Amino acid sequence: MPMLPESIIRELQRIAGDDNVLHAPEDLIVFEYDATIERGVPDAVVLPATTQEVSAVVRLAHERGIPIVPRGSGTGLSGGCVPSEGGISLVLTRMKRILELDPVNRIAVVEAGVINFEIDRAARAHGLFYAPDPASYKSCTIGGNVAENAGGPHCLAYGVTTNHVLGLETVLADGSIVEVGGRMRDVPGYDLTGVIVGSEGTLCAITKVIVRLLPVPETGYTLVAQFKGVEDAAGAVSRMIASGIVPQCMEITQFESIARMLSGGAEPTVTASMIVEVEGLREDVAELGPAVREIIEANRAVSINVAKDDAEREAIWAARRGAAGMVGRIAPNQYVIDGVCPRTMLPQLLRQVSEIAKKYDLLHVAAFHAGDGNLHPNFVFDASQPGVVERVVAAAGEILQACVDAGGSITGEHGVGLEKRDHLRLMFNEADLAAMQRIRAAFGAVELFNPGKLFPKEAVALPV
Amino acid sequence: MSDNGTLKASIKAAASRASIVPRRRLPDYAIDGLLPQIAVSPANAEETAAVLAAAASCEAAVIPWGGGTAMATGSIPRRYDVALDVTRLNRVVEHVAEDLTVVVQAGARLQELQEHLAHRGQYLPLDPPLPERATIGGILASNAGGPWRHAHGWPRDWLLGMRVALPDGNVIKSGGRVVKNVAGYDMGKLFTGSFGTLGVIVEAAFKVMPLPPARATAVAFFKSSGVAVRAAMALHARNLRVESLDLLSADAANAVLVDHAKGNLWCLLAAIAGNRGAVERTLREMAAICTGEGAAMASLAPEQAETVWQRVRGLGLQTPDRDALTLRAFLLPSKVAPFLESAESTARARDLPLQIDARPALGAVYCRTAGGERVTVLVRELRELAGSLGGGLVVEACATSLKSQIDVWGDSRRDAGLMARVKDSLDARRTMSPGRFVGGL
Repeated sequence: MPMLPESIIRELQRIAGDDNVLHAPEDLIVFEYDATIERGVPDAVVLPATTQEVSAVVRLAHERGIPIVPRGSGTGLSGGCVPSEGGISLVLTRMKRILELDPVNRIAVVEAGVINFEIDRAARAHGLFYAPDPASYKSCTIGGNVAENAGGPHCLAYGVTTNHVLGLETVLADGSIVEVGGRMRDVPGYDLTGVIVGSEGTLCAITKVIVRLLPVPETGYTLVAQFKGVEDAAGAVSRMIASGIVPQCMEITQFESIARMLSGGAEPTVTASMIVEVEGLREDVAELGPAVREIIEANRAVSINVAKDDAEREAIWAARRGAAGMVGRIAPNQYVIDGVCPRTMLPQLLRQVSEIAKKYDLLHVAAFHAGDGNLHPNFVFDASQPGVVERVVAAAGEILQACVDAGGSITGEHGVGLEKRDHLRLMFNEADLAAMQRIRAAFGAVELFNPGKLFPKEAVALPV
Repeated sequence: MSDNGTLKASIKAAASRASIVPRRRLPDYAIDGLLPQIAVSPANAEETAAVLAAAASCEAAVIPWGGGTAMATGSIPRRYDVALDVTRLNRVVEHVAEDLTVVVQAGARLQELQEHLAHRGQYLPLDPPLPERATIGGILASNAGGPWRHAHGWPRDWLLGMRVALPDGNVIKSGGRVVKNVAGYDMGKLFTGSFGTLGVIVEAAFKVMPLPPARATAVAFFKSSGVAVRAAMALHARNLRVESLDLLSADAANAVLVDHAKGNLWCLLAAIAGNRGAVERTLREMAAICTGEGAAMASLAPEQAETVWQRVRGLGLQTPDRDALTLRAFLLPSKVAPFLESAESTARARDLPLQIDARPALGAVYCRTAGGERVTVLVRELRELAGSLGGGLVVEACATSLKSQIDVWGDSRRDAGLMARVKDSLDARRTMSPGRFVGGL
């Protein structure tokens, strides 16, 4: 492993303080992971406290040709913050101040390391909320959300991160601090904010974020329904969208493989459940709630429970958010796929996923954003068994191909990262990728920020 | 730029004969008094890209055209050789109603698209002026919107994917046609609002929405802009089913409401959409808030309402009237009331009557006036006012003579350097609409 010269470590310590630079192997190993199976150890970890410190670190790295890999809480699901080519892991979790919360204009200005949930909590004190709600919302940072253009269950109605970010403070490759966008969206100019959101740390470091807040809906209606088969649940989703009902979210959890494991050979009566939530005015909910219920009943739900109060609603959501954690008790490793298909194709895609899992002899469950067509098949396995990782990766590739063939995408909210960089070619040709690379060159970031991510491994030739 | 003959020969080699617009129609493509040497209306994306590449190789400048409804916006072109008209790319490529998505070519007119979607009870919630002329590509390129922005946001919020012809001769795509997609850079955002300075949008995919079951329009009349803004923000804070919320000065209200106008009062106009119960409640609560502030209320029958909203959209409209001036101030919502108050007195001092259409919750204020040479000072004063309130001001339409005296886009931005590098990365030869956009891009 190429260690950084002592002089650079000293320089980093001078910028961020001795305690905020890690370089001992036992400290570095802690930063080798995210929530995928990707691994890569940084050469140094720096935890700056201010934008000026970030700028100084980036400038130093730029001068010395050391890669910079920005990192928040490390909850990412595509290997985006894994330092696969070494370099400096730029950890922004010390920049965690909410600088401003303006309830009249419905804006918050926050540092990149603020936890998603903290923004939401601060907003709720004013009757507002921050809409994007990834499952890791209690631990993931807003900077990471911006880098990955994170989603979550409620994005069906409210949109993903990019729909809620108005402006950014960034540090470019040469260390310059550049603000893009602002508090108002009507400012003329290129929408650089829109390009940086979802650029996965490959363009710049993000130090501050201006987010839009929404008013908390007056009331809600949350139900959880159980189904014998996931096709029935998926059918209900398609039926709902087709009839013009777009609830705030529609989430399916699929656990047929576990149900079969536990049923001792008997045919399980329930193998999937679905959460549907409708929010809005009392009048909206009074009309939509029963309409939703009717469609679910018509799609052969085995049982339906409607939350009677906030506590019951919270219990339903706690179960959904905890799905990934629960799966961890079955086997030590999991591999979550983030494919998207048109919503009309959901039943077909779910069938294909089951066939692919069977073909590779893999156990799979899923907890996914059905209303968006965003599948999250999750392979559960023990990586120490020989050959299993190869089977998982091959099966994932086939599922992504199936999503693209259906007119969908290889990633709905997790990002391309390391994991899917070679699958990007399923969606984009050389010209498409070259145009993206040119934008990266315009940011001056080709060699510096997060090398080896997002773009396919073989370099895309830049037309001169 | 190379000489005329070489350029025309190169363009004719890149485009089919049927795509060359007859010479006599060149005046249709005038911008700020300048005419192109040639106009091309390509039949497909590849031909569009080939024309761009041919022009780029001759160091010529290309300006894309849709319905032409926003062409008054922008600085005087530095060069203008080729008009590229996208209106032959006018197909709805695919509308999957069950999926609430549509793919449409850039030259399709908004109204045609809306009619197509309405057959299946859906719509794209964007309502810029002149939908019968405005094209999808033009709406995206100019980031155009109307009163519906209040509830439904910007074109970028509905965009799922895009195909763009670049001056290097490639047609690139970004995004896709599914509602959630983060694969690769979100390039579609970059072209949205870029005013034709990076490439030519040839196709776009959008999310669409079911048409609301019920709609209504309510009107409230106020003695002052300050009280009216307070009422508007109180209504906004209730999070009801308001789709548009426009505050019109007496002048603007008289132009819009005609028979229903009330002399010299400010008029708050609200479109309300949703299910019947929610619409009725919104109307009730709006009436309570507004009468509580001393306003007189009126309601409009559905067919009247449609006409009134059409006129509201037309208020910011760019007419060929050489003296007409349309300004758009962008502010934080909390700064709309102070802006309106000072703007009124500024205009009064200059003896220039302002027609104002403010969207308080969006912080957008459109001002319209006509006044020949005297408007230059007014623009400077209003721009200074908006700036002092933390916002800015864009001149959306004005006489060409004014454009040589002021920058229509306003002060340069902090990210101007990065914008210029982005421009150069996709359009190194400055083929696309040179000089038209912010910072001389």
